[in-house]
This record gives sequence, C-alpha cells and structure tokens, in this order.
Amino acid sequence: MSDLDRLDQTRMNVNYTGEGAPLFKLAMKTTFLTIITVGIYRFWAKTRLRRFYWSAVRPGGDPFEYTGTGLEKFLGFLIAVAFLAVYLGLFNTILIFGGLVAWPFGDGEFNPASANIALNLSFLALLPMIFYAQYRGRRYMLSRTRWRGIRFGAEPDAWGFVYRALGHLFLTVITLGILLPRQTWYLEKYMYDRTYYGDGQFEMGGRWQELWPAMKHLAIGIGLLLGGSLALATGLTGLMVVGGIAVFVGYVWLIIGIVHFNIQSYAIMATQKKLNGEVLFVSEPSTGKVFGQTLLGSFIASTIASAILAVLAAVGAVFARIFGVMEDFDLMNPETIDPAFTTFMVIGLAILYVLFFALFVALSQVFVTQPILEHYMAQTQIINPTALDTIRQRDQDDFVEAEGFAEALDVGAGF
Amino acid sequence: MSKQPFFFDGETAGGRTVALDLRDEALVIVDGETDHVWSWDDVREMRDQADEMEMVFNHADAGEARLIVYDPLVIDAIQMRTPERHKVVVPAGTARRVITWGGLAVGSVMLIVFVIIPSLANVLTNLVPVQREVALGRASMTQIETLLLNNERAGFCVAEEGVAAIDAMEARLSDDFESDYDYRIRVYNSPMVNAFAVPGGNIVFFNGLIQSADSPEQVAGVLAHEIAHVENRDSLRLMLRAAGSAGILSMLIGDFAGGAVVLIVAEQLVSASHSQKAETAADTFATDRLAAVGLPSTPFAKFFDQMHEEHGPQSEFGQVLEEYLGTHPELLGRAAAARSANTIEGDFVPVLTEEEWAALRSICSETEAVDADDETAEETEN
Repeated sequence: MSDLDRLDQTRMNVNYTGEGAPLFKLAMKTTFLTIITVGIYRFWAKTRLRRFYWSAVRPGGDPFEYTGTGLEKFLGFLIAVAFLAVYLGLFNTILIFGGLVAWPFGDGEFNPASANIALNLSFLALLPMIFYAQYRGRRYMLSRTRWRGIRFGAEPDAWGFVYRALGHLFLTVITLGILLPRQTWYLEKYMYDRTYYGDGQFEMGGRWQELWPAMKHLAIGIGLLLGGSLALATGLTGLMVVGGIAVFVGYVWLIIGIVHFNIQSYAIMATQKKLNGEVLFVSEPSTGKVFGQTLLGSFIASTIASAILAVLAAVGAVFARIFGVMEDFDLMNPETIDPAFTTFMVIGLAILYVLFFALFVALSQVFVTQPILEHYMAQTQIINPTALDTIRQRDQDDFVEAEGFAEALDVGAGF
Repeated sequence: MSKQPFFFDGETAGGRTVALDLRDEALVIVDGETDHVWSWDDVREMRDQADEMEMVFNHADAGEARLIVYDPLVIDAIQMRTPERHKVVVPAGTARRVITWGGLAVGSVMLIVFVIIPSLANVLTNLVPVQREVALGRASMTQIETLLLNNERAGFCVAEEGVAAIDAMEARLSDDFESDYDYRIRVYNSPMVNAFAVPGGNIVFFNGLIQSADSPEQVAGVLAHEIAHVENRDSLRLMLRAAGSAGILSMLIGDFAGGAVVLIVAEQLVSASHSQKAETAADTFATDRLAAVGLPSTPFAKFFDQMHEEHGPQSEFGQVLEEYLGTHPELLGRAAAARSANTIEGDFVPVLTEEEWAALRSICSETEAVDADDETAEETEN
C-alpha cells in the first residue's frame, strides 16, 4: 500500500442516482417492443437500458454516458450471424457424424452417450469465438462510454486475449480449478493493461496469489462435496447419512463460493488497478448483500409478476364465463364452443404469457440489477481524483461489427 | 437555488462552472474567456437519462463537449427552443449497409440451413457403415420399446398367421430388390393410425392402421413407404440435419423473453421442410415399388383420402398450419401424386390372399409384452 501513502488521500465517492419507477417504465416499454418485433428491437432495448444505467453512475457527481446506438449493434449482429452460421453449421454436422461413426472405437455397439459427447464438443469449437466476442464486446462498450466528455477505449488485441484465455482455461481445467485465481488475474490484467480513459492508461499491479483468499468458500464447498462423496462410498449407514448431508451442503456452499470468488476477486483486483500511475481505486462489495439481493429481488419480481398475472387471468376467466353463458357454450364440452371463441382465448393466453415475461424482466431490472449496481457503486471510491483533471481526450475507436459476436453467442457483460 | 451549469469541453476531463446566455439564435456558453456558441438547431439532449432533476446537452457536431444543467427553469427554457433536441442523425450509407449485411446474414443462414447442411448430411449419411446404422437402430428400438410397452394393456401382436401374412407382404414388395437390411416388421396393439421405421430395418405398424385399411394393398403402400425410409436412411439424415442447424436458429433469435416460442416455431419450420421432402421421396419410392411388383397405387392414394377425411385439418387455417409446420406433406397432394403414379389398370395379383388378409387383421388376437430388456418375452392371451 505504499502507493496509497505517497498520493493525495482525497477520496471521490461514486453516487448512484437511478430510481425504480423510470427504470421500470423504460424496461417494460423496451421489453414489450422486443417481444412484438420478435426480438429485433432487443438491440435498441439493451442500448437504451445501458444509457439509463450509465447515466445513473456518477463518480464525484458527474454522470457516465453511453453513446452506443441500437442500429450499430443490430448491424454488428448481422455481420456476426453471416460468419457464425456457416462456422456453426459445418462444425455441428461434422461433429455429430463423428459421434455416430467414430465412437466407440472398434466394437459394433452404438452408444447413445457418444453422440452427446460429440454435441458437447461443438461447445469447444465455439470457445475461441466466445473469448474473441468477450474481448471485442468489452472494447466496444468502452469505446461507447464517456465520463466528463472523455472517451474510454481499449487496444484491439482480441486474438492475444483468445489464445491466452484458452491456455489459462486449459491449465485451470487440468489442475481441477486450483489455478482459477491465476487465470482470473492474468486475463483481467491483460484487459486492464490495454484499457484507456482518454490519454490515461490503466495498469494492473500486484500478484495473482493475492486472489487466494477469495477462493475460501469455493474450497470449503469442494471439500464438503469430496468428503461427503467419500463417506457415501463407504456404504456404512451412519457415515452415508452424514455424507449425504455434506454433499447437499457442499453443493449449496459451492454455488455461493463461486459468487463469492467472482465478487471478492473483483474487489481485490480493484485495488491493484491504477490509472496513469496516480489514480487508485477501492471497491468492496459484500457477497452477502449481492447474493441476498439476488434471491430477494428475484422473489419480489416473480411474486409481483405472478400476482398481476393471476388477477388478469381471473378477469379473463370471468369474461370467458359470461361470454360462454351469453353464447350458450358449455365450456366443459369442447364441441359446443365456437372456434372463433377458442382462437380468442388462445390469443388472450398468448398476451398474458408475453405480459408475464415483460413484467418479470422489467421487475428484475428494478429489484435485482439496479440494487446490485447501486451497492457496487456505493462501495467504490476513487483515490486522488484531482489527477483526473489533466486527462485529455483520445480518438474515437471505430467498430464495424460492434459487439455482434457477443450478441450472437449470448456472452458478454450482464448489461 | 440550483447548482450552476457545468461544462466539459470534450478535450480534458477537468470540468468547470459556466454561465449561460440564451439568445434568440443560439445558446451561448460563457466559459471563462471563451464563448461557445451552440446554434439552437444543433443542440441535442441525452435520452433515457436516469436522473430527471438535471439534463445533459451536447452539440451535434462539437464532439464530446457536454453541458449539464441543473435548474429546471433553464432546462425548460432550453427545451422550448430546441424542438430538434432528440434528432438522431444516421450516418450516410447506413440503410445500404443494413440491407447488405441483413441480406448476407439471412442468405448465409438460409444457405447453410437449407442447402449446405442438407447436402452435407446426404454425403455423410452415406458414409455411415450399415452395421453402425443397424446398431444405432437397435439402440433406439430398445428405447422405443420401453416407451411403447409402458402401456400394460398394449404389446406387440404375435398371432402366428398374422405374422406370416405381414412377412409375405414384405417378401412380395422386396421380391426383385436387393437390400442391405434385414427387415423386421411388427404390429403394435394400439388403435392409433400410424406406422414408423427405425434405422436398420425395424418397422412398426400400429394395429389401428391395419384396421382402418380397406384392402391389403393399402397396408402394402404404407409398408413400401416405411421401407423407403429405411433404404433412404432418412432418420440418420434428419438427425444430422437437426444437429447441424441446432445452434444457428437460437443464435439468430436470441434469448429475449418469449424467444423460446419463436425458436420452437422456427425449428419446426426448418425440420418440417426437411422431413416433408423425405416423406415425398418415400411416397415416390413406394409407388415405384408397388408398380415394380405389379400392384396398383390407387389403394395407397385412397388411403390418404380416407386419412384426410377422418383426421385432416378442419379449417383453412389448419390447412395452412399443416402445410408449413406438419412433419408430413399435405394428404390430398400425397393422394393425387400416388394416384397419378398408378400403372396397373384392371386385374392384378393381390398382395395377400383373402385368408392372409383376414389373418393380418386379427394379428392382435395374441399379444406379447416384451420386457424392456427385450430378450425375456412373456406371452399373454388377449
């Protein structure tokens, strides 16, 4: 922490000013438009939500700004699809063929599992594309982000990221996850060392071993799972009961452990980052808060959406009943029902379905995404902010394909 | 008293407080010594902002300079003078780029799903060794048997003369025909009007189909159709095609709410297009086969007519649905095709004798509930 001592100790807080009502209105409107355009509006929907979130984040009171457009996202998606359709189609067909013919080697019996293995391999074929999409998507987002009228940006080294990510992932897999902190740290460093705010360059210091403490709960979860499985394998009744409990607890612990690792490794790496060697960061979100808000928020969102749906369905049922009496239908006897009425009911149900999804998506933004973002921001501080005043503008990065690959492959940031 | 307007010049990150002068023709930002003159037509307002208590403005052509106004009265005054503040200028040539790339994207998906994957699947299907295909068929037949025989009252029909009759029918149809496959034809005791083929030569008739047929030639037409599926390796081909186009449609549609429904419909459209072609080819194979062994295809055609009358779509809407989403082509068209392929007028040697036909119709007088593991069969009188 010698850097901290040398620098001006002033800290700039990051405010978050988003409110529930305007976000709900925006999310509801954009989700609805997305559904009625069979998904085409989703590029604009995502862009508009980003504009909202970005503008709600205010280091020192000055809002971030998102300048991306739905149109460029849409165009980027079209470009990605044109390439990926061919790539995916050929790979999948050949892989399933391989699964049919080549497995199991030698003997004549067909094993349905081998076809499944082949299908899972098609995921491997996509891995390089996924890492490429992640880097490009992040770079696109940075290039469309402003703060105080100054652009963010990143260097265009996406393929360097791809082969490093593949290598690190391989190491993590063969060490059964032990090198996960190393992978996380090196990939984060690769990205941050190539990230800019105006003419100011980010860099990441420290060591990857500093991420070990974040692995604590992940390790406990795995330990419980392994211990429990061993106890189950003994076949002794008493031990098996204990083992069963340990496996169950270990499983839940593991999931929380993964969330904990993601959040705490982020917090540790935040303190390792520097902008222009003189601006430092602190960000200390709490795992309990994030996890709790996710559970509580999802519960609230689904409860409200279900309640509204139930009321509407009840109204619809009463209406159908009245209509049935008027037209002399026996609702229990399908043959007496006019097909037009059936069509009407089917359309009604379709509208309810769409409405439920739109409500759930919008409410999840309000009760999950926004509170968590707000928590992250409240826990974030910028140290020595006066050094930011001297940062100058950088050139605009042009993107033909925007984050089209990330969109097509459904990877990328949560926003 | 609201905060003073704040200005970032788009060159450095250091912002400062400014004074505003709202003139008739322009907004003047008094920034120390410098005046920034923004003509009202060029002033833009950020959209979808989270904080409604302030507003961020910029100039259409002045790069990243930003003006933040906190005073609601001043915001109102600026908004009154800037009817164009939400105008989005789309870069020249955008429409052309969207059309070009949209065409390429749709074209590439169409090409891969409807041309490349089907042809690749055809080539690869022929490369699968017969013994591998037979093994695959055996594996799927085991699964199917488990499903079918879950229903305890049903089972496979094993009355001896009936089995002999269906074997005789198969023998007549493949009389002059060399096949790589050993056919095993069975009747399943269910009232459903259906029949299916599994890779490698397993064919299953549902008793309902035999009962609803007027003549053995109708059943023979269906059998020839199922033989065609085996000979053409249609299950394998469709499996390869389905696997090939699997990820592509979900990529195109994305994961928006309700996307799952669109995806199901789209996948059904694609698989219907693939399987309808296979069905038409199997019909052609069947009528050729019937002609080759001296049987008329008019009974086969009549069978489609009967099916249409009993189970066909009731409305025009249903007709359209069936045409595009059905796994099989529309029935009347199949009937017409079978009728026009007929080569036998007048007398012919029936595919089964009267006695054989009667025996086939009562094949389900004895059924056999096969154990899921197949080998240990257990007989029951019905």
